[in-house]
Amino acid sequence: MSLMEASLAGDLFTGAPILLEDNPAADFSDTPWWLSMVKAHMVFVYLLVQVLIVIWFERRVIGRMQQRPGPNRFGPLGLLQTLADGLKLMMKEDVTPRDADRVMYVIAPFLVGALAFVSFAIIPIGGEVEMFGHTTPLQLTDTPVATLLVLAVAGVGAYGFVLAGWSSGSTYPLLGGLRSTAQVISYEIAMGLALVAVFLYAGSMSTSQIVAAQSSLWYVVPLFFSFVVYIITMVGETNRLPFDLAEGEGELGGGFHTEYSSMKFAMFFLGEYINMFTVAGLATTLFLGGWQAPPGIAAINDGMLNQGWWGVLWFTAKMWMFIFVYVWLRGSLPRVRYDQFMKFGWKVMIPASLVWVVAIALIRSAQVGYFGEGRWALPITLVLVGGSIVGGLLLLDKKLADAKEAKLAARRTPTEVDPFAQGHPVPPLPGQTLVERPRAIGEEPVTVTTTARPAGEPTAENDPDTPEDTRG
Amino acid sequence: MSGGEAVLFWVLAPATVLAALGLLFARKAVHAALSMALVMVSLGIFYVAQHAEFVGIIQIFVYSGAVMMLFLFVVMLIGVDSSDSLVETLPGQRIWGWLLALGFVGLAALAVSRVTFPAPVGLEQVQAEGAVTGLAREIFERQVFGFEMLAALLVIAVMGAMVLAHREQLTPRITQREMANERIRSGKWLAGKPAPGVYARHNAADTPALLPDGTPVEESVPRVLVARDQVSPPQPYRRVSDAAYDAIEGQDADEESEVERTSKARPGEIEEGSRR
Amino acid sequence: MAEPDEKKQGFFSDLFAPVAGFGVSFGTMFRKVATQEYPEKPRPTQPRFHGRHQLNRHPDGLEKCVGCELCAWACPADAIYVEGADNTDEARFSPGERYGRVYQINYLRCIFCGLCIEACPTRALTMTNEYELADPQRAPLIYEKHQLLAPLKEGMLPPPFPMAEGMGERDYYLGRVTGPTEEQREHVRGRESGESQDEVPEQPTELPQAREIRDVHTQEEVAHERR
Repeated sequence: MSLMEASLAGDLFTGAPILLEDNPAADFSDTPWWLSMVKAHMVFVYLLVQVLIVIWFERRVIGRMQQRPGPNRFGPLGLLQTLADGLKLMMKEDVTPRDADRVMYVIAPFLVGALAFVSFAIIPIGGEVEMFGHTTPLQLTDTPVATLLVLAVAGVGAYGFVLAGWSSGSTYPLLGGLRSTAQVISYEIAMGLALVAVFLYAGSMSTSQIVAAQSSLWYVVPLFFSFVVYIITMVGETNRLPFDLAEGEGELGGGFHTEYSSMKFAMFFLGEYINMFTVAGLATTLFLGGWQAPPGIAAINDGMLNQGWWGVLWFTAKMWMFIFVYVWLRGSLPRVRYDQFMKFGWKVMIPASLVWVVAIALIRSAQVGYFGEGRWALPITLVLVGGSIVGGLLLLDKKLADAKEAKLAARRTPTEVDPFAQGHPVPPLPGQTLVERPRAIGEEPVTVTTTARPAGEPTAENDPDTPEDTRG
Repeated sequence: MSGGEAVLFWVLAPATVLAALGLLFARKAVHAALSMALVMVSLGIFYVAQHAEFVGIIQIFVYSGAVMMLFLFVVMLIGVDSSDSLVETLPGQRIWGWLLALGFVGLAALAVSRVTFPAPVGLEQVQAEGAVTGLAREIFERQVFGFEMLAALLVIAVMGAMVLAHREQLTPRITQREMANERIRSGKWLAGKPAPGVYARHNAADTPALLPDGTPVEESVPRVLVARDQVSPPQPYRRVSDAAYDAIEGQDADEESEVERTSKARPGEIEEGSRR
Repeated sequence: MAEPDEKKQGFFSDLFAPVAGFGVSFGTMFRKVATQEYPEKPRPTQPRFHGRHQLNRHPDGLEKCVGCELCAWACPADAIYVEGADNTDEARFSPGERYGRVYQINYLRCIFCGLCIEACPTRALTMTNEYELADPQRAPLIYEKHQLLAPLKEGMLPPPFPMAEGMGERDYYLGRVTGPTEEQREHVRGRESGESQDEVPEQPTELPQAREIRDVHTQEEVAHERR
């Protein structure tokens, strides 16, 4: 660990190679199978308790953001509201539409609900602790490709949405389910790209390894753009405002869960909240140093507050920060239209993420020493990459401003107008001048003049093309 | 195989075989597609159990998460029915099918029976530096040429798909502003079509609105539902209005006869006044 | 042709413009909530609030309502139904000649405009500040006279009893009667003790049949009555 620290801190200028380690830093050798079961139960309970709290939390905070108290009827401060919600959902009538596909209709919510928990298996909630006589990390499991597991499970979870939509047997849920799934798989790509930058820095996809690699510097600092991209995609993945058009109440009834009621609906509800926690936990792990204490507190008493069970506190605090950001977004932003949202995902996020990944790869290569061992390799790379990015942004800004200007210019009222253009006469606006109607070839304009004309040329009087009533 | 792995295998393998059979014999296309997704996920799990974690996760992520999902989209949207015609139009297809299938089975059985498998070594040696690093070395050091060719091929395929699916915009795209102007100029349904609940007694989207004389308004139900023949009849909701109208008219008849009797009134005027 | 003044926004100003919105919602969290915690903390009504009607009494207990029906005629929603009756020497409910025998306000029709209060010549009809009048059924929302009469205050006597000696209707109106006299108290005591023997005309509490469209029999009966 100290070698890592030294190398990370010192290599910014010396360019010493960094030890890349694929395999997990967490040590599972002393974890018998029953202890894993115990830990699985602990994670399950941890998540469910947090769901109970987040339902209350969200409604109260959204209420305060809208200058109203939020639920305050059941229990002091409305704390028993979740219980009331749960009881209501349990006691509702469970309706199955006549045209529904029975098997899939029942499987879909359970798929969504169950898979939501699976992703939490690889997230480290704390450091190494002593439990029942064994030393075990506070993490259910870890593999060299742990982070990809979250993405994979999200992908399979999307099946739940599309199945729910299709099996309801009516149009709005089908549309909602397809939209929701398209949204999830589109933003998975952008999420993956945001994560690639983290993998480049940490040298591994194992979550415990990534947490260990952030012991000196949290990745939110050097990878702020990836952080922003990850936040946006995280909100898009979980179908939350401003990206919840697939289940938007105003547009599609309820989207894929329109026809569901009672406990099946509760499963979707639960799955959505657990997904929120999972991606928030992943964000904490990948960008905010996981379960490690903030830098100031970590230094107290040589890291006393930075190990073992204390990790749970820091991790939970950071995760709830993200949950607050979720609620804040919901309280502040209107819903994005679906086509705008897909355009944003495919045409803005993915190219931008790709460019950023290339930039990070170059910077990282300079740090590792691929561009030479001297001390100038890194600064030169940074300047070049930074310069290109800034230049690109300025060009982009100019292009957008020009397009906007052109659009506005097209809308301005023209100085000259042909009054009969729309088919019926329109009076001129102040400042406009009327344009004469274009006449057929050969016609003279109708003028009152007494100058003599040569005999052969048609005049207004005997020209057969001018209408009868304007002839002299 | 260690204990855990044996349990995993013997639980998952029969499920996978059943899913594969489901793919072949399922009635509905969606069930078949989902069985295939299950097979792919199980394969991914087997790879992970064999220590090929990266390949396993990517199998789940890409194959069942993206490829199969798109299959499913197509099946759900287009709706492949089992009621599709099973009459084969190619002449002699059955005979040739059987012949070629038997030939292939024979060849495959011959080939497989001649294969000798060396003793399994496992992936520990290859993945000495870690699973992902081992794979990376294989791809980018020993097989980089083949990998780059594949990448080029994929890019070409994507471009080909784009070109084939591309539709040239022959007329200028109509903006929202222009569409709105057109609608106002045409003068039709300027205030929007009547929503189902405006005149009817039910506000479901599939119950049409009723005009004052009781006829349903077709424009108040979405076209999709009309095309799918899912419009529900409005008769039950007219009964209450009809009963009320009858009662009022019966009452009017009483009043009319009364007034006529008592005041020897002018019949024409009264009739007009009371017939609403 | 006034065009909106288009300012050229700076790049960063454009980039961070949406963030200002977040600041607003964050700041709103700390503002005082605008909600009224009804019914635990109901907002007090203003002094001249238009609430439920009340039929007032004179200080000795006689009702102020003289059954003139002006309120019924003034009501734009046709919510008031009044039947006046004569005050007799044996049974006197209000000073003067007549009293309101039947007095109903249909709160399903009342729009709480207060025109009836403006119309009342004796200030018998006023509005209280009570607004919690909701009911799950329609029939109980037609309030009868006994529900609208002001309660008897300290010292008031329950009608019927004769007017104070030497006082007329005008004296009552001008406020010259400030309490019940001894004779009136005697009368009430005598009435109460001999109530089982004497027949005291009581206020009617039956409603006339409301006309319903669906009830064909009632229509026939009504038609019969008319004839």
